[in-house]
Amino acid sequence: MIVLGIETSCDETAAAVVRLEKKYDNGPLGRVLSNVILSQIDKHKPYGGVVPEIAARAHVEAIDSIVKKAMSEAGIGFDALAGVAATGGPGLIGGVMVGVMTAKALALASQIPFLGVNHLEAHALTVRLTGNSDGTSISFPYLLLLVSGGHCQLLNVKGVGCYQRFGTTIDDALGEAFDKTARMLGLGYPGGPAVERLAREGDPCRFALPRPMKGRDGCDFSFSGLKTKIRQTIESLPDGPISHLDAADICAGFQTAVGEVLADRSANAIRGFLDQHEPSSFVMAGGVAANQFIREKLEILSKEHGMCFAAPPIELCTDNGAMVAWAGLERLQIGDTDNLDFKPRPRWPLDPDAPRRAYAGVKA
Amino acid sequence: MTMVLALDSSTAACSVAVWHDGVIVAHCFEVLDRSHAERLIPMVDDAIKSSGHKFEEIDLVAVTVGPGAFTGLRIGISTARGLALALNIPCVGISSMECLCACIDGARDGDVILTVLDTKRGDLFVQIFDFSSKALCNVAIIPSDGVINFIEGIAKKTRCIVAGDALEPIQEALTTQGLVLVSSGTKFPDATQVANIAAWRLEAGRAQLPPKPVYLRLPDASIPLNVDGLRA
Repeated sequence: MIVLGIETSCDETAAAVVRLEKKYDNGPLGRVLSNVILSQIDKHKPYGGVVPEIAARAHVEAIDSIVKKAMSEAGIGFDALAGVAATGGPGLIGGVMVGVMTAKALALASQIPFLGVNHLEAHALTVRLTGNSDGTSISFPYLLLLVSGGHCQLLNVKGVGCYQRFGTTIDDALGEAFDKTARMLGLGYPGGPAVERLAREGDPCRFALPRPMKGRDGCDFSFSGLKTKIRQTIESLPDGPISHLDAADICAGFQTAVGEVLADRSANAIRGFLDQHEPSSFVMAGGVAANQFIREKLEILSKEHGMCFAAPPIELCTDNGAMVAWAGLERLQIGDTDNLDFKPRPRWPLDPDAPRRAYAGVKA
Repeated sequence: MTMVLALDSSTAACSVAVWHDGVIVAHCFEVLDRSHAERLIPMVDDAIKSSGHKFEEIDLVAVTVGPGAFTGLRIGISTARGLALALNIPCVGISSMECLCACIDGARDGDVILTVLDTKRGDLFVQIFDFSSKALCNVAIIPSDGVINFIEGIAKKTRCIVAGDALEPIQEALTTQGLVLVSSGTKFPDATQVANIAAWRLEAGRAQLPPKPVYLRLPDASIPLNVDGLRA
């Protein structure tokens, strides 16, 4: 079974072709036949963040050629596809529309099923495409920490389309906090990789930074207080340009604080998960899962609780078409396809029963 | 044997037409306001089915490229380009103003045709054509009280046939200025005309527009001078 996936919900125009390789009793494994990503970062950089109208314009300009490239790199024609999937939300609606319409048109003209995929579910299931590092597959249920520029959630992944939210951010997403820290330090956009790089050289103890929510019950997150403290710390520095050393110490302090908060909240979630299930996988996904420091921190935590840590390869952590294709493939496997009147959904929670958080943004 | 599939979702209307050797063999037209993303693909499906033809027989996909609603333009264009990609056929763009103009019949020598669409941002897209559908100016964005000056720069004391969804805001101004105003009754572009124009150009070997949105406006975004009030 081969599926084409299209991703246009933020600032990456992406398309990929994925094939179901093996199906074990405990889970599947897939293979990425092609994975084409066109980043719009340079278009948004001058604005310090993604501008929705600029993103939508860039997507409509590029998506058909990106799909064509993905198909040719995979070495297949449209007649070889079992389905076409596109991110149907949540995300920037102008871009989502472009991907969804392209995918529906391809599906109609090729007479194959269309799948409007939840972007969060695509992140959540990617780890089943690549499996564990030892080549074994990952089965349901598993615990998921989904951390990206728009989200920070802990979820019990019970099956395709079946999620229980343990906790979410009550203000900023973690990726956003990384970006804002980088911006305040003049490190540019996107901030995640820059902060991680600089943190390696810094002293995490020099500046006292808070660990919001640490030690409290539950699995919710908060990052706005940390962001404010970073701002105050920068303002307390002597006038003039921020020195390399100061910036490195702030990055190290920030990343360490974040790591401690994630470990603390995840520990509560693991306890909640183990109340319901046998020990299983603890999966980290989303753009922030590309951060090696946080990965290592959570890998240690997983071992302490008898859970097996897993995360997609770094190139599949940030937004891509392969994760969308894979989520589409998983849904196609259970016959859960969408009609061609599918409507893009700017807000689309994975767990519709979880209470809406006051400041969790339209996307959470 | 030529077959053209045409789409329009540039305004509140949404339409699909199939042109086959000089005849419109299928046509769907709906006024939707906001649900173009839901309706357009099922309408394409219906049109092809009711035409009695198959997707594989289509030679050309044509779509309105604007001016119009930005999201609507992207819905139509991404659909058209997706269809063309899957079918491995060319895709061309048609101006929504030309399409509106082509909806008018009965224009006489000396008449002008005024096409006018609401930008939904407080002003109007305007373009003027002569009686033979030849454009007398490029598309302009002008405030509704500036339409009269705009027309007078091009045509005076003549019969003016109006097409588009923004007749009301300009009607009074136009009738008091000695222009004889005739409403064509056409409010929206229609895929029938998109198909006719594209097929005519194809058969006459004329150049076609690329299937790219014609926004006529830069995106709303400003470069921050000093992000978060902090030094960079």
